[in-house]
Amino acid sequence: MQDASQVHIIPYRDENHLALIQPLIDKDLSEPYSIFTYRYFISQWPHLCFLAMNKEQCVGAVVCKLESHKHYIMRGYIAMLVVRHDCRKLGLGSKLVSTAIEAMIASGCHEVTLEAEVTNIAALRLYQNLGFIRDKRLEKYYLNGNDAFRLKLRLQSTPKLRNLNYQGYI
Amino acid sequence: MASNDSAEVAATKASPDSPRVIPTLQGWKDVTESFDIAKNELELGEMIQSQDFNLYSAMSAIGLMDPKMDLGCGKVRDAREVQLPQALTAKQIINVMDQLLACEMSWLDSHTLPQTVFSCVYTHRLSEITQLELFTFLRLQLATMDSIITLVEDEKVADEEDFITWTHGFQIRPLRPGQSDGDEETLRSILKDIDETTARDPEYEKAERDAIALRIRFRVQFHRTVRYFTGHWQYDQWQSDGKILAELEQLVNSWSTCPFLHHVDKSLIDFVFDESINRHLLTSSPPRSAPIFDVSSALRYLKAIVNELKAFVSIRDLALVSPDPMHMSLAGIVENRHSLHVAVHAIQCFASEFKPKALTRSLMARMMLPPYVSLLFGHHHGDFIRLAMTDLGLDPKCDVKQIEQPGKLRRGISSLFKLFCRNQGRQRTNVLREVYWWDRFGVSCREVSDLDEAESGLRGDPARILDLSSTNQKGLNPSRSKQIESANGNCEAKPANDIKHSIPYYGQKPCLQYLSLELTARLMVHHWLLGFECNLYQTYEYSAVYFNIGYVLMSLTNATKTIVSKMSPERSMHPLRTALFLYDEGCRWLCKAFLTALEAFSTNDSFDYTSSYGGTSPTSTCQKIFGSGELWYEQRFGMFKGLQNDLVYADHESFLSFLKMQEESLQDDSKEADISILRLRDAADSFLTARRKLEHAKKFSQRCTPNAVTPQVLKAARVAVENSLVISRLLTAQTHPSTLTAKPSARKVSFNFSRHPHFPVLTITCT
Repeated sequence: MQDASQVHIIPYRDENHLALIQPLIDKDLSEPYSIFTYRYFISQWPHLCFLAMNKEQCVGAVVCKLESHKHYIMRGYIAMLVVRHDCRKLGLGSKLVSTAIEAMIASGCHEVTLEAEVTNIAALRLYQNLGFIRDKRLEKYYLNGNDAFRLKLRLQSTPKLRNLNYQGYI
Repeated sequence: MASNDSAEVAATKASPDSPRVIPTLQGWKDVTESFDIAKNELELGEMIQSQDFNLYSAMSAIGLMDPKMDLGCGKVRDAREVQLPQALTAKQIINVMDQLLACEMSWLDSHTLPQTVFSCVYTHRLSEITQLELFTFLRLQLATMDSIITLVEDEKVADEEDFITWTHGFQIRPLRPGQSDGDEETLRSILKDIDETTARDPEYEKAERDAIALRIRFRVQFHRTVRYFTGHWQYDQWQSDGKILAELEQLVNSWSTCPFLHHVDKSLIDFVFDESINRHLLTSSPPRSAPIFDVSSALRYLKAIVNELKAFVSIRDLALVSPDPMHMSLAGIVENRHSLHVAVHAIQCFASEFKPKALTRSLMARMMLPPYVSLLFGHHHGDFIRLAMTDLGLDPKCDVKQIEQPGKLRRGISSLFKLFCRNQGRQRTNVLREVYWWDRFGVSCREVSDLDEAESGLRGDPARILDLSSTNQKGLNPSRSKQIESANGNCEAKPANDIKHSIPYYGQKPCLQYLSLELTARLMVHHWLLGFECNLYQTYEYSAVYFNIGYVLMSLTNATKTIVSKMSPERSMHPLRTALFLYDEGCRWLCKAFLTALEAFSTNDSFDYTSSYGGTSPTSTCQKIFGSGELWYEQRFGMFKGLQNDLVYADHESFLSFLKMQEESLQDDSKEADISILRLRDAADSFLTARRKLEHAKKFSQRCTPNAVTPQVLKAARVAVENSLVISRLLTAQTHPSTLTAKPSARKVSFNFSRHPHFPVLTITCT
């Protein structure tokens, strides 16, 4: 296992970083992503993509986006999070997510969401320790037929709802 | 630009790393060089992107020849070119029929047609099947599937994850296209012919003939069942549903014990069933795996559907039964069916217990519609409004016309029942829409009432909501105590029949407002209880969840008391409705007990439990950076902030102030310094009160059997009893430490939901 003190978090810089992120994520995630998926997130929100570097090696990455939801909520979304196997249990995942959330807060984010497989205990623990709650259960969400939890973290109070249709809230 | 040198183009050798050379095709031009030039013009990281290229487009894109994404690479067969066997033996026919059933059940379990039923080559070449038995089986299967697709599309309660109605252009037709009736005649003709047909073939042994005939009889009966429950039956045959299901079940059981199930010709099955014949039809986005059931699993799945249908149909007996069915005529029983709440509760329990499949849920939704609702509720006119009228104490015969907005009410109740036809995840989301609908409906019905709102107990003051026991009233303002006592009436001591006051009945509008308040509250509670079933809550959230459920149950039962107080003397609350009311009261006390017990654990360091956001979970560091208890509370409960029909939202501050007031109230009357012990005592008392309420509920519910209320009452009562024992043992250990052989370093609190899906049995283990 690596030493966490040697790992530092850097923001995404350019195409050369994408070449480090993509194989790391492709190796570990269950769902296949095309290059277009990476480009969709990283080209529009490069400031919300961070890498965990151990010298010249990329050992972790987080890819996010932030956009308006239902016209009045700024909702962040954590699309991908990965930490190399031999660098796990060092708090790198939490550090990457925390860094990304801080960047989202700086951009006026109200809440952050993501999906995690119901059987992914480690991921659920990571996000729940950061304050995320299980907001919804999505049945048969993944290609393998497993359910997902939609996790959500509220960062700011939303506007008063008394005169709004609930659908505007949700 | 077309090129006549296509052969030359094709012959051009690409570099070793490029994809294989494409075959010769006229009109193709190699643009690799142009592409390289354009690529060199771009800056590092520069991208050409259309505004239309959104996330969906990105996720749907596939990498060609990537085996994870591209279903087109790999073996592909053309169904038209497969050489079908000349004639199948009887055993082979049986195997194919079995596998077709397995594919059909897999399709019903949310997989696509190309990967299931239409992976069978015979489905593409129906007209070439020479053996009548196989043709009949397949034709019937496709006709049934057509009815199912139509049903699911019409009812719109299944979602993409439940069922895929897309037919991909396959030929799936009714039994008699263009004729909505007449299936029964064809089915009878098939049954008549099947024995003759199988007997004609001298190569069939008797056991084989019987097996084939059984499978075709099943197809006939399954088709008949689906057509029956989708509304294609004679109205006066509505009592035949039990018979139809019984016959279907018998056929499924016979199929399950058929000796030929395990004699499988695997090479034939692999040859005849191959999803690669449909590769060109599969969705362009990355493929979803489609595990096909084996035949035994498919038959179990089918049995589960039959059981679900049987259970759902029996709801009409569970939901609404007269007080004395043994001495009442059928007409009398029908006349006395009523109680919207009991019906909602019965369907809610069914949906929660069975988690029915998409087909069953679609059939449920169809049976909820007014033309068919008589099957469920036994009313010839299927009028939803009559259910509501009886709950309000109105004469269903005379007062319906006086109700304003009857169409709106009918829509609301129909939509309410249909809610339970969604899968659990969607139910929990959609229930919010229903909550707000009923809230707005209630507001529209509101009139200025002469009633004292405080007496009705509807204005929510969370501080007193959960402390309505005689001992706790001592600590409250005396005038408030009197109000509470008045609001409670004598409900706790006497049956609901005796609750009636001499207050005259003022009219329908206020009652409709209270009815909508009851339903709003019931749906809010359902939303939170579903959170337990979907495993959404972490243990630190339980306190707040039980607080909110208890608070809303209080509003619900208060609204019921108000309605009862307005009932005219000749009308009284139905015994099952009374039982449900007492069950709601029992649950309210259970919520209070859990809240108090969890707060007791939280305030004692020896327990490994925290009830507050930001205790040990989530980390306090992150709490400081990212959020607060208030934000968490708003996120979890704030979706009901916008309600306006007198159901007050208990915000985070109210929750905290309630906990503080409860603590002060407990400490006022006791010399005990340890607040956790005071809370444990209060929790023990609350569990016992809950138990008493539930036993009272049982007495009413057992007057009308069968019903859906009694099982719930018994489950909840058992939880109350077991938890009161746990707390009592804990109190003994806390107050008499000498009884312990060793002082535990920590005691872990765990929650066992096996007895009841929403109220756990507490387990305290020493570490």
